Amino acid sequence: MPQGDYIDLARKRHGYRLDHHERVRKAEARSVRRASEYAKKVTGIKAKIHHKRRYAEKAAMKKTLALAAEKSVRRADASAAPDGAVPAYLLDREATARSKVLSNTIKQKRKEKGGKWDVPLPRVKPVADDEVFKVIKTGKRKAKQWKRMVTKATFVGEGYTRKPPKYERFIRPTGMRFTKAHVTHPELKTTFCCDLLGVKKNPQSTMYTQLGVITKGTIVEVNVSDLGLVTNTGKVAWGKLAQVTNNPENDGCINAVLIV
Amino acid sequence: METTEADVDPSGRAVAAAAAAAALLPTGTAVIQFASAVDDTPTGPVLDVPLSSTPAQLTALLNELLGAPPLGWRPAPPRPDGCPPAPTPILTALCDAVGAADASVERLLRVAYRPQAAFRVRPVSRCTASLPGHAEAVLAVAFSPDGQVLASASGDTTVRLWGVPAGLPLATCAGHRGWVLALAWAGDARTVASGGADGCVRVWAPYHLVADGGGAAAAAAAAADAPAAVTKLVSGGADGGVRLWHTGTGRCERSLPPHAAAVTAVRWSGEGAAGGGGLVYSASRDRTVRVFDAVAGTLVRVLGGHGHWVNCMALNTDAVVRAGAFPSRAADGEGGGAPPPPPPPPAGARATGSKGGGVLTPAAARERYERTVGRLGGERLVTGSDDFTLTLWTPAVAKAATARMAGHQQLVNDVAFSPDGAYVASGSFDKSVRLWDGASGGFVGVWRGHVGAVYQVGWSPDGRLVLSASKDSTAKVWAVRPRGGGGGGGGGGGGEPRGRGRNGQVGPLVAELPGHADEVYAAAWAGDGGWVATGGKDKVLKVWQH
Repeated sequence: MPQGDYIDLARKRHGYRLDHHERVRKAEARSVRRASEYAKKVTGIKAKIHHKRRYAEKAAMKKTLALAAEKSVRRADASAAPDGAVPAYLLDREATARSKVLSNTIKQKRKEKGGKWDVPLPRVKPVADDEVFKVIKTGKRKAKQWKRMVTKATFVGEGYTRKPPKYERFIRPTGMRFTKAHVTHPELKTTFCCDLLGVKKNPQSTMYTQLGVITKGTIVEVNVSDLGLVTNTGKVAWGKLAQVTNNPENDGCINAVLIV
Repeated sequence: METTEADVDPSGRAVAAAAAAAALLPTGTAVIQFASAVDDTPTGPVLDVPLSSTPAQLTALLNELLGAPPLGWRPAPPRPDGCPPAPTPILTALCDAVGAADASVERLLRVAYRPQAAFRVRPVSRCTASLPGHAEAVLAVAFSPDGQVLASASGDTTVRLWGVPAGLPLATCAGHRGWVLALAWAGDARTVASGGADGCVRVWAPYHLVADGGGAAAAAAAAADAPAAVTKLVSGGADGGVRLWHTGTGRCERSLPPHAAAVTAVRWSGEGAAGGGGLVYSASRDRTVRVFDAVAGTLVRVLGGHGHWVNCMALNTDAVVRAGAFPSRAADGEGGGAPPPPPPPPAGARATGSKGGGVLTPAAARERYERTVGRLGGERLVTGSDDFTLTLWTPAVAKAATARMAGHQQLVNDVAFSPDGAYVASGSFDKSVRLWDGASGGFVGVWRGHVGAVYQVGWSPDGRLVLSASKDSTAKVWAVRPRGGGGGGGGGGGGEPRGRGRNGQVGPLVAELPGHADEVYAAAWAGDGGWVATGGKDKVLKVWQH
């Protein structure tokens, strides 16, 4: 008969020792001290094992405490009315894609005036002129080197007519011209392919703005009439501003975020 | 009274156009017989009048014949005997409307006429107050019958009450546990009932909860009051149930046989059993309108015919029911209707302005209601549906539809009878508001101009202006009557006002009410015509005045 079973048998026959529970309680109470003493004394691999176990124990304890504490925290009433209230006549109707009025026109104008933009990309890496313009060294007057080719993506308006090549200082290659942009609506979290209407501001330089150079961080105007956005006066919003978020010259497309 | 000129456009342009038209057409006479547009009874003898007669002259003639105090009249283009009267009035001269072929001295033409409101509501044009307070979208607004209090229901589970003259907040009624979707005032303006998405109907005596009708199940989508009764309430729920409540005790008195789908609108009719409040109409998404006997609790008839959800419902008595127990110019017989001038109203029923005055006794209100029904030529119901059509019914009498009005290209979301019952305006998701004849259901015209779905339509108390609230964040006010000049498709000049020709015979856009930052969900025109209140998704309640 194993040793422990004798103890059980004795307990069955005679019950616990009279001071048993007291001793257990005291041993339990002293166990922290004993553990502390051990933790201070132990070194080496034993210490590692001990501390790892203690760490796991403490983490479990914290979780348990947090669980217990959560019960007393007042939670939001689960029966509260949900957000996005709609009138009775719109209940159970398919939620059509919609977006609220995106910007207050006055606010936008004010911002425009101050030249300050609350934009998704507030800072851009400066782009040097020699990176943007490639010096053309061909032709009869190659020695003068006054012709430049724009090496970045550009937007050229619809009615643009080239100057006679002889007088054309800036060449904007047709391969790098863009007419469309993939515009993401930050609230709807959807992307639309919109027509470009113009380059509003290139933060690098006003000359780039005039040339229609599109780099990362450029503010472009896009045609959003298909999105069904409405202005405060109840008209269909047409042109909206968006900021370019990629390097179009590297990617071959323009990605932009609508400025709300 | 300035109303003799009510139908004559004062603009010089119209007069000039009329003069030009008259100068072009041959002089001659037509043989006409005036007849009431409502019951088609002939008025006065057969007359031989010059073809160049203008509406003003015909109006003067009518006033002479009727011997009544001078009213504005709207004579319709003449038709040979037996044809129904045209819904649009004569604009310039008789010869315009008659046409060369019909203008014969040997042919008797009937000129149907209908009266104009004896007062004029000036179109609202500016926002006089923006009332913030709601923490969620405003879903319904309603003016009290006495015009003193404006109630607004919101998605933040509260009903707020605002004093009308000052726009000050009077009370916030919190208690619902879901969006508050519907509002209805009692006829005595002492209590307002609200239906919530939590399935409860609550009744508020402007400052505290009176009764709480729990267990209406799902969304209580509508509520209404019986004419001349102040303690009866009918509610319809998204579970299809229609219940009658006693607002004093909050007890559900009767549960009517339910619909198979959500109830979208309920109305309490004065027809049926004697004593009023005999019939209850409920429109539902199960494609039917049901007529219940409120006393016996039985289903009287089922009006079927719509091919899809029935979204909205309007009675031609809505204006008088909304006026409750209070004097109202629209309801007191000044708002037009059928010709026989009403007998002098009993003492206490006189209009004394919007500031209260005499409150009618239930018997007087009931009498006024019956007089109005008589003047309107019987109670009529119009329903709008997801199948893009509207249907006109006489629910108290017949199961069959009177007319089917097709024309909208999208579902019809709201419909309203003009206070004089002459017209029906309907708003649709196809961004247009259409105007129909209230008696025959004939198409009158269409207003285009909204760039989003039209959610709500309403009428000014004088029946001359229509208000529409839209998803495009604006409300717009439209004139019913076209500007004078060129009539009946004869003109065709370049200077035609907007909304003419192909769009039928309706007036122009009178006012645009921009200012909401988002969709406008609810709009209401006050009973005295001075205020328009709109509320929408931008959580602000806006007040518009002239």
